[in-house]
Amino acid sequence: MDAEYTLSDERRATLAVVLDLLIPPDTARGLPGAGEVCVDAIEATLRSKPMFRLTVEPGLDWFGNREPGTGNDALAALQNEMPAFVPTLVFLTYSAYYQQPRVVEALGVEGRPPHPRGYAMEPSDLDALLSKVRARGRMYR
Amino acid sequence: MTDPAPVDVLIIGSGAAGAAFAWSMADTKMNILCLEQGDWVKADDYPGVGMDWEERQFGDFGLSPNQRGRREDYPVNDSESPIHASMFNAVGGSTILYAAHFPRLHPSDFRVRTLDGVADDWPLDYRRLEPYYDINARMMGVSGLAGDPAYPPKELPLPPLPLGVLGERLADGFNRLGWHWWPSDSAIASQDYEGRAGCVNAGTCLVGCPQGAKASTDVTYWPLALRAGVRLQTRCRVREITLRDDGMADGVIYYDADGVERHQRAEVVVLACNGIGTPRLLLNSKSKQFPDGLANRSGLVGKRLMFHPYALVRGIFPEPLEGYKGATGCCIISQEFYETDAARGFVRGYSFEMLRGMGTVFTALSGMGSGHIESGAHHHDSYERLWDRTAGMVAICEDLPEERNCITLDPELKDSDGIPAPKVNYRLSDNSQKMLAHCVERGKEVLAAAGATDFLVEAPLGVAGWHLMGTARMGTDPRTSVVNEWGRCHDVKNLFVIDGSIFVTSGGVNPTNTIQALALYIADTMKQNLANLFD
Repeated sequence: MDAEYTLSDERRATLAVVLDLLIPPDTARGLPGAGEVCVDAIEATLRSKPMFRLTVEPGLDWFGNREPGTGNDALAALQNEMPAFVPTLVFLTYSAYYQQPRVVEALGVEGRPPHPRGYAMEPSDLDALLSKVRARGRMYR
Repeated sequence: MTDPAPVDVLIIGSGAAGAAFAWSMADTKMNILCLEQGDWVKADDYPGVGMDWEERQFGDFGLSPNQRGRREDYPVNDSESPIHASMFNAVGGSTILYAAHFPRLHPSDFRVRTLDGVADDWPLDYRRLEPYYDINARMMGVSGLAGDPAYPPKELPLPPLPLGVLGERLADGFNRLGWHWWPSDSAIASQDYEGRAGCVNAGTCLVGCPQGAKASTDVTYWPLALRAGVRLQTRCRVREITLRDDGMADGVIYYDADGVERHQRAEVVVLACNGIGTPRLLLNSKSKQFPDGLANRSGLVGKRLMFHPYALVRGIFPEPLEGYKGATGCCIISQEFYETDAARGFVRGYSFEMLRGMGTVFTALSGMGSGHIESGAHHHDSYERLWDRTAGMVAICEDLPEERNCITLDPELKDSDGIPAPKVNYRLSDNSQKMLAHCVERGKEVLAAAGATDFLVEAPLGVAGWHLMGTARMGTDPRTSVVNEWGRCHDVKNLFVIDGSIFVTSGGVNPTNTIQALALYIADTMKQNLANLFD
């Protein structure tokens, strides 16, 4: 782990743009774009897991030095030119995005770790549900 | 620095078997020591207390020791196996990460040669193990419901875990087809039990339970064993078992937490290192008396490796299922296809075990892998179609023993102490492949009956090498088995094996309950034979 590692300002800016291509904001659902909430998290992952830099940094530099279009056209261009970059960044982005409290809350789950509160669940009427199974009798040999 | 003082009983490994055995033997008041290569896991260390709990399944709490790469782990060369080895090295062993699904073997599982003409019968039967299953249920705190027609009558100390919306939906599918299902026997406390807090349905079981509701042995057997005087030393990795001139074991050589080599002498050595770790240690303990590995005059140490080939079948449903709530692997079980039916084209059978849904991160990554979730402008639409709308099952297929499936020592790969790593050679049998095909189709059928409209399938499930069995099998004939009917090595009479290595066949259920019942049975048998233990 390289505790001093940071992305340059240029790469951070490019990363935010690319992340919004992968997961754009959706105001109707109350969901932020990945560019708004994942840049720091992905930078932290690149800091702790240097092997991801090998594919992410060249991809960012390629994108930052060109104007590959917008939206899905830009994604397609990236996929064509930097085939290892997109799946790696998608993995990092999905992992980071779907643990953001704002995102989790927008999906209907409380924006907190599962422990210690957990989730309430109601008991089932097992007698009713199992009546057919009980009626079968012994199954074992 | 001097070597430590000799002990009466030396246990290698503190997981499911080692913990149960240590607790049972404690009442002898003998000098008992357990060496564990891992360390204690504290409640705050578990991923479930953080938002990154799913991501950490790809890192320090991953299933594969190769993925984790911690100092406590040893690498496994499983490049020649479609099923990859999963285990955890810590106090509690792999019970730290297991799902805690806790079924027993069936009575028929001990008699497969007699009933179905395949493999071998065990040298003991269900009735012999039954009292130890009962003790283990109380010690581990098993939740479940009496009356399952797939089993002889049994009592469980705690009521079943809740089914939830997802579980009821799947139960309805089974009922529509008239297939067997039952609330799972789960080593997860459904309510406060013996100082452990009850399950809060957080759904993080596979990365450990900070609540202590899941019965990993660091919170069940070990506190009692330690209180009774057993000693447990962590971060101690055993390299080999040493022999006296008369061919009896005299202890082990291990590396302590500082990497210093030590020789721990003992009157009795007990291996509880799992179905990969135990043959690894035996094969690495070569001598003039045992040039092919210790206790290996039968040639069977490391052979007859059994995993359970798993199939993962998930359905996509039209409405939310609250699948992120509840114990991950413990919902309901179906044993409709457990017993042999020749019309199916294969022998023996399998269990279906229902899974909860996926968390937010796993939904995204799983959907990415299957092609159901896309990046770009339509990402949120595609994610919404999957989020909280998946439910499904794993099928646990009985794996019949074959000598070609084996553990050997890798000639090059070593752990951080320079000890040769194990190598897995494993192929799916024709019988297993037919069984997998059958369970995938039946899985889809029942999910469709429950309302699923699309399916996600992985068979065999590559990560599912968590049941490690058969590599030092028990039996009455020294020519065809490594240990006798109570775990004592035929070739070395003060050396015992108590983990999944001694299984004769695998059954079609999770093995931990049976591993522990066997460990308790072996401990009891040893206590009853202390006066002539080595005769």
